This record gives sequence, C-alpha cells and structure tokens, in this order.
Amino acid sequence: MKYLNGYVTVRRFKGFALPVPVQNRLLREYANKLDMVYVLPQCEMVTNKNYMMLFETLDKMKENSDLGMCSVFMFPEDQKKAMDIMEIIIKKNITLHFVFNESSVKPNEIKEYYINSNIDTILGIQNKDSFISLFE
Amino acid sequence: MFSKYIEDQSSDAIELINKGYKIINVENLELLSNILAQFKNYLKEQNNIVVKDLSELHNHLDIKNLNSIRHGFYEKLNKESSFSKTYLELAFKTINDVVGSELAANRSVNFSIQIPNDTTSKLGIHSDCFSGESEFQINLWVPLTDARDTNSMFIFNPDFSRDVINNISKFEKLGIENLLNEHEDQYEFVNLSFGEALVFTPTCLHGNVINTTQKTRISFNCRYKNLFSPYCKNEENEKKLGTFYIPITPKAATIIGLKNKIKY
Repeated sequence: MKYLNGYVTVRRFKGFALPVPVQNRLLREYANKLDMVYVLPQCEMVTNKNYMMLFETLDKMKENSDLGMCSVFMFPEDQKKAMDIMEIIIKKNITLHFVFNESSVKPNEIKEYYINSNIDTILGIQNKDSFISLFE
Repeated sequence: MFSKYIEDQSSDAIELINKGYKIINVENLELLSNILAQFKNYLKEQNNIVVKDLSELHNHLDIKNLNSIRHGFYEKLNKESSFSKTYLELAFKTINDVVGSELAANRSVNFSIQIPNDTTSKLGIHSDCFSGESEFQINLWVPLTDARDTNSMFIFNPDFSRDVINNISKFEKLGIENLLNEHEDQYEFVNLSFGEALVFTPTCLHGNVINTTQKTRISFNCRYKNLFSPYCKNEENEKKLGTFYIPITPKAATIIGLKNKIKY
C-alpha cells in the first residue's frame, strides 16, 4: 500500500489562500486517484516564514516516500531555507506531488522545478516596472 | 499576573488554568448514549459492520475504509444545523463556568477514530494557536470508548507549553516532536472512561501517538470560545467567526444591540 503524506498551510502562498479543509480534500482526492492512502498532515504554523511543520513532516517521513501539497509555492521564498528543505527531500528520495499542477516531481528534479516555478521572484519580475528595469 | 481574577474562579476553572485540563462527568449521559447508538446504527446500515464493543472496531474494518467511515459519520452528524450546540449539552455547566455564556463554537464537531497501529491518523504535537485558532478557546473532547495510554491523547503542562511556544522560532529546523522523548515528565496521557469528558486548553501542546494498545479509541472534539474574544486577524486565515467559528448562544443584550442601526 502506498501512502501520500500531506502538507497544508493556513498562510497565503503566492497570492493563493485556501482553507485547510479544502486543501485536505484536494489532497485526499488526488491520493485516491493514485490509489494511495492519505496520511493526516501537520498544518504549517501561522507565523510567517516559519516552516517548522514542513521540516518536521520531512523528518518523520521514510525514505522513498511521497509528499503531497497544493503548490510548490508553499516552499519558502527564502532560497537558502528552500535549499535546506530540498536537500532533505533528495537525501530521503521523496517524490513531491503538487496538486494544483497535477504534477509529480522526482527528488532529483525538485531544485530545477523550484527554480523554474520561482523564476519571476528570482529575477525580480513581479510587476511591469521591475520587468522593464531589467532592460535598462 | 491576573491573580486577583484567578481567586474568584471555581475550583474546576483553577484546575484548568493550572493543569491545562480537567476531566469531568458528562452532564447529559442520555445524549452521549444516543450518539453512540447513532454511530453503531450508521456502521450497520451504511457499512455492514455490526460491533458490540466499539473498542474492537479495528477487527471489523479495513484501514483503507477508515477515513470514509469516519468522514461519513462526521458529515451525518454535522448535517444537523448547529450540532456543536447539541454537543455542548455534554458539558454545558462546565463550559459556561470556564468560557462564559455567550459562545462561539466550531462550525463542525470533529470526529476521530484511532485504531491500533494506524500510522495515517497521527496528529503530532501542536498547539491549536499554531494554525491561527483562538488562544481564548476551550476544547471539549468526549470519547465514545474508554481512552487510555497511547490510544488517548497527551497534553503538556501550561508552563512548559508556554516556554516552547514563546521560543518557537528556535525549533523551526529541529521540530518539537522530540519533546515527547526528552521531557516525559512534562506531559501525560489523559485516561478517560466512557461517560467522562475532557475539557482542555488547546494552547497547551498536545496530540496523539501511534496507538500501540489493542483497543480502538473513538472520540469527538469541539472548541468553544467567548463570542467576543479575539479571532485571528490574518486576512487569508479561515479561523474566523462566520467560517471556522459560528455564534451559538448570543444573549438578549447582544441581539438587541445587533438589531440597532446606529453607526459609530
């Protein structure tokens, strides 16, 4: 039997704000579709920029297991912290599932996926003015 | 701080403040027995499960069906408008004593089934305020079976919990799960029999571990707070009045005030 460990948050992520029960429902449906058993998640702290529950979830997960969340944007924006998290994912060979995109990401692809997803933030392109400034 | 107010509290309230929890006898045993009968009937009618002793439920179901059974009964109970108000009758006097008479409650009463060795239903160590729930709420936790040792829940004492929560940033990468092994003297598993209820402050760190007993635990929980005590202010957080919480017992003065159209 395969298990999908959940991760949910009460915080806004890249403009999205989704009630926890809705996140759980999406993750549970996703798990059912893949014939996996959904594991009750720890909800992330309300405190901004604190990722204690994500670290703890990863710490408790076994090697070669699966972690589901709504979006890669639930990872820290702080790239150093995000890299620390991704190192754990790679070390434990954890496959990521992002329900918004219906995508499964292998551990060796996660860094590239994170960077590509956050390319606008990394390049500082969040509005028209900052985009134009890149060409000046 | 607040000692002059604490002096005026009932002995139950003082125990709750000092210990973080209080075990009481259910005030409406007929209602609890009725809920128990409803659950057994639901198991029989909807899932073809006939079980005399609910603590043996794990011998009658497949773990793959556990959540659909749990969720099915949760939805059935909460379909009734304001089941959280009905559920309050299990500890009406105590909640009025320790929270007040004008109450807001969870929109839905939660329902939990902890079968032996189930790794999918573990709710790790946490405080409800971690996710933006009110610090002014009290949780009414009532089991349908006896709850003992690892099939029950654990709760840390208030002083230790406050120390951890006030320094939570220190635990970001370490996590707090290790506190269970490192501070065994700071928490206890609450032992309750059918007919008893646990009233506790979810500001204290609490949770459950994998049930290593041979008995299933089945329980409900619902949070009650003073209608006018603070709610999470974060715009994106759903733990607000009207969504996560609903008013259940506003009093006359409040109703009169709400009818008034004067703008301040």
